[in-house]
Amino acid sequence: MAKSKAQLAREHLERALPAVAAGDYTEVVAWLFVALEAAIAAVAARHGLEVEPKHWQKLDVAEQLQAEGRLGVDVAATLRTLNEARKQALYEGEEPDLDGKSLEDLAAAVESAVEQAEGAGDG
Amino acid sequence: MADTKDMQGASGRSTAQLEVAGLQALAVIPVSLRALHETVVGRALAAEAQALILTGSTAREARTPVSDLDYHLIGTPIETDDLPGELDVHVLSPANLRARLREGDDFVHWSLRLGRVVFDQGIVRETTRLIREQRLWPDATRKLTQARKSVSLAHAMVASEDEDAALEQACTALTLTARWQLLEQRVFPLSRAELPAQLRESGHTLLATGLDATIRRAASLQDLTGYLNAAEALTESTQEPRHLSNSRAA
Repeated sequence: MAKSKAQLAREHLERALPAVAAGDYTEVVAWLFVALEAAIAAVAARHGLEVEPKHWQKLDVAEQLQAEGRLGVDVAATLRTLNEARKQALYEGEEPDLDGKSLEDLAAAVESAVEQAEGAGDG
Repeated sequence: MADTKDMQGASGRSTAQLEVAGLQALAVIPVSLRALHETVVGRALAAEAQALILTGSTAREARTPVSDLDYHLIGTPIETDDLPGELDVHVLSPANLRARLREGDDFVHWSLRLGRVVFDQGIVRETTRLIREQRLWPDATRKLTQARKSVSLAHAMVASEDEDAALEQACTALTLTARWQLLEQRVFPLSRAELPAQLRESGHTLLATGLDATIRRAASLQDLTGYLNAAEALTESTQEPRHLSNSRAA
């Protein structure tokens, strides 16, 4: 049976956390990014919203859910930061710009969204 | 090679020619994105940018369903947070542009060789001349390191059973592997959608099939494992990659 998006979000987050402690930014931003996308997809499904494959469309969905109070206030900004950071780390091999946040800040923000996804179920 | 032709196209242009270049850049942008393009151009000019280059798949007229609208802006950052998320503006100072070129950053090389110049106060002409005169080439070793890391992550995402994440990461991993392999073979990698054809011409059929499938989002987790194994075998078989940073073409 396929895993739910909320379950995937939690598992991805748990993969990211040891990398946060180790300061491995590539692992951190890659796993936090997919954890947050899965969490957004879980909450979106609960509210009947379709999630498109383009990252920027997921950002639109996150902003909509945020505006409706269904996701935390910093989810869209965190997704934007992680998407840019992921591209910098993976494609350019650089230490990413985290918009002034620490890896721990980002992990905490994603964990909050994952908890909301778990509360929402997968609809 | 396409890059030689495009380098010549970006060098030694008059003002009139640059205006034509800007119109040529506009012509390849989908109608739905032209207003966004004009906004970016307006803000870049207002910020007195040294140059603006349309880059990525749009510049090659080879957009895929998940393509962004990418630019290299030479100058100071412009406000983009209020613009659609599909916009990606990569900002570099002139000094950073020169430094990255010499370090063998393949993205900077890509924009200067294959991008469409929207406007240029001289820095694009200067750096394309540098490429030509010093026969600069991207550093394949950097790409190999990134490819290995990315393949490892993709395998882990396949194991997680998250199809969306695995497809995305596998596409990234196969793209990086393709770029590394082509650079090693002294073939300049084109846009992502054009890479499968370049790979086939270079004899990497399975890698080409895998990349094509991930671009089209048409691969199962089992398929992805096979493609990633092929990429892994290729990257791991290179024990001591040739260091090509700033090397001169043969």
